[in-house]
Amino acid sequence: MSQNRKVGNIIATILKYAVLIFGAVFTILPFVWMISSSLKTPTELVQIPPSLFPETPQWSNYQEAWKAAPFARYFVNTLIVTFCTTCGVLVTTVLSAFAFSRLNFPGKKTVFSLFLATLMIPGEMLIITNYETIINLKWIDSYKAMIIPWISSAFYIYLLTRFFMQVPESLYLAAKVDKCSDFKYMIKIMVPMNKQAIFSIAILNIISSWNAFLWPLLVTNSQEMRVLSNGLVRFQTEAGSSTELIMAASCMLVMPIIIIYLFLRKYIIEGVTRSGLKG
Amino acid sequence: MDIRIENLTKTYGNLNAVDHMNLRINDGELVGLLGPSGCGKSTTLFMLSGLTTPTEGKIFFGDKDVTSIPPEDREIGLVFQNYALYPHMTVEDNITFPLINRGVKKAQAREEALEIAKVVKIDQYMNRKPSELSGGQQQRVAIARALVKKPQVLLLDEPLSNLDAKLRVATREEIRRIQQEVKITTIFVTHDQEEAMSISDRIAVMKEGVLQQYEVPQTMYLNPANEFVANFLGTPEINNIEVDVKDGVITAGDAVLRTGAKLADGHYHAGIRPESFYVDENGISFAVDNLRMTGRDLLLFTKLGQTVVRVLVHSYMHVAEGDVIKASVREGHILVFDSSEKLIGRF
Ligand SMILES: Nc1ncnc2c1ncn2[C@@H]1O[C@H](COP(=O)(O)OP(=O)(O)OP(=O)(O)O)[C@@H](O)[C@H]1O
Ligand SMILES: [Mg+2]
Repeated sequence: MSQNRKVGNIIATILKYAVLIFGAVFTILPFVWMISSSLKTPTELVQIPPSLFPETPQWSNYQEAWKAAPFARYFVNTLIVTFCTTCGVLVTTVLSAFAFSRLNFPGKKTVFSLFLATLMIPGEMLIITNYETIINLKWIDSYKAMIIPWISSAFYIYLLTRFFMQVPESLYLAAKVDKCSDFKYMIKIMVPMNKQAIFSIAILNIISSWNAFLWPLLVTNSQEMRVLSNGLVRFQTEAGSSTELIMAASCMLVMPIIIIYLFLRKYIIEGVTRSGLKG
Repeated sequence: MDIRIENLTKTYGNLNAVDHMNLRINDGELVGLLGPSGCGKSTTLFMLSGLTTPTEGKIFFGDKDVTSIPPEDREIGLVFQNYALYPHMTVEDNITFPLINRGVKKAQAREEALEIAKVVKIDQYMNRKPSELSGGQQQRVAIARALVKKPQVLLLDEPLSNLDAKLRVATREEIRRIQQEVKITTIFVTHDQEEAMSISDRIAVMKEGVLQQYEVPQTMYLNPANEFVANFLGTPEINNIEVDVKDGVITAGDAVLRTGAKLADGHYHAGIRPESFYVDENGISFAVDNLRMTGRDLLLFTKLGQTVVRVLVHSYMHVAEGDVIKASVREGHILVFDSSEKLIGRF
C-alpha cells in the first residue's frame, strides 16, 4: 500500500513539474528568442530553419543600437521618472495607510471611501483629465508632467492600509508607553513590520513606471524628454529592418527591471510576516 | 510607590465599564485584579497606565495626581496579554527600545537591558527574534521591556493567558519572584482565581465595573463579602443552597445543617464549599449519585433536597456510586447571605 502511495507521489510530482516546465518554457521562450536575436547577424536572423543560438554572439549589436539613438538620454529620463514616482508613491502610500489604519480624524471613513471610489474610474478617463490639467499648468514636456500625476495611488494605499490594519493595536499602545511618537512608531515599527508589502508596492510601481508608454508619449514631445519605451518605438520606425538592433535595444530596456526584480525578489517571497505575537 | 484610586469611572455610551472604583495599593504590593470577562479589568489597567482617559475620578501615584499625565511620563511598565513584542526586532532591541526613546545612549541601554534580562533569565536569547522564543520566554521579554526603564508601577494584563497549564504555574511563580526581587508595586489582571490567590498580596474582585471586595486572599476566601465573590473563588465551585432558619436551626429541606445559630428566622441563600464537609457518623445522609477522582481528592455529587451538592473527601475514602455517606459541615463554614446577596454571617 505504501508502495502504491509512493508511486502515486512520484507521478504527481512528475506531472506537477511537467506543467510547470511547460508554463516556464512558454513564458521564457519569447524572451530567449529576443536575447538570441539581439546577438545574431542580419543573415542569421532570416536564415531558415532558424537557429536558436547565434554562431558567434554579435555583441557589437548593442554598441550599434546604443549609438543609433540617444538611448543614454532615454535611459536617464526613465530612471529619473521611475525613481521619483516610486519614491513619491512610497511616501504618500505609507503616510496615508498609517493615517487610515491608526489615526483617528473626523471624516476618516468618508475619505477612505472616496479613495476607494477613485479606483472605479477608468484609467483612460484619468488620462484625459490629467492631460488637460497638465496643459493648463503649462507643464508639457517636463519631468513634472511625467512624475507628479503618478506619485500617489489609491490602490496601493488601500493595499497597505489593509496590511497596517493587521498590526495589533497593542503594539501601538506598547510603543506609546515606551515613549514612541506616532511618526517614530510608523517608521520604526509599522514600516519594517510590513516591509514585504512595501517592497512589493515598490516593485509593482517600478515596473509600471518603467514600462509606462501612453502618458509619457502624450506629455512629452522633444527628444530630450523621451523615455525608453517611447524611444524604442521611435527607433523601431527609424531603424526599420534592423531587427537585431531593435532586439538589442529591447533587451536593454527590460534588463534593469529584471535585475531589480531578481534583486528584490527575496523580500517579496521571504514569507508571511513573522509575528512576535501569540493568540 | 503607593497607588490610590478615587471614584474611578469609565463610561462607554451608557455602559459603565468601571464604576466609581476606590482602591489603595501599598508600596511594593502585588495586587490581583480579578473578575469575569468584560468586568472592566483591562479598562482599569488602561486608565492606570494612561492609555484610557477616565470619565471621572482620580488616580494618585504616591502623592502625585497622575490622572492627566500621559502614559510615557507615568513611570509605568505595561505587559499586554499578547506581549506586544516588536516582531522584527531582536530581544535586545525590544528591551532597549523604551530606553533609546528616552534618549539613553546605546551602550548604556544595552548594559541596562542585559542587567534586567538576567533578572528574568533571558540573557542568553538577546540576539533572537521573538518568533524564535517559546511563549514563556516571550512573556519574560515583555516583562523585561516593561521593567528596564525602572518604572514605579508594573501593570500586567492577563500575562499568562497564552501559556499552557504547567507553564502558567511556573511563570506566575516567576513573576512573583521578579516582583519581590525588584520590589515594585504591581497590578496583575487575571480571570483565573487560583492564579490571583496564589501570588497576590491582595485581591480586588470586580463585577460589571464595580469593585466587590478588596482583601488578602485567605481572608477573602473564608469571608467573601457577597455571594458573587463566594461563587467566583474556589474550585470546585461553592454549593449554593436555599436554607430556612427557625429558632436558630438552619435546615435545607429535611436536613438539619446547624443548630443554635444566632440568625433571625426566615429564608436565606447559603453557600457551603465542597471541602467544608467532613465525614461524620452523626451527620446528614448523602446519597452519592456520581463521583469524580481528581487526584488528591474525590469529588462526590450528591443531593440535598432538590439541589445538587458537591462534597469533597479524601481520595483514600472507600465510596462507590449509590453509596450513602454521612457528613456534616465544619463549624463556621456555612456562609449565609441576605436578600441583597451580602454576607450576613458564617455558621
Ligand atoms: N473602546 C471601547 N468601546 C466601547 N466599549 C468598550 C471599550 N473597551 C471596553 N469596552 C467595554 O467595557 C467593558 C469592560 O471591558 P474590559 O476590556 O475592561 O473587560 P475585561 O475585564 O478586561 O475583560 P476580559 O477578561 O475579557 O479581558 C466591556 O463590556 C467592554 O465591552
Ligand atoms: Mg481584558
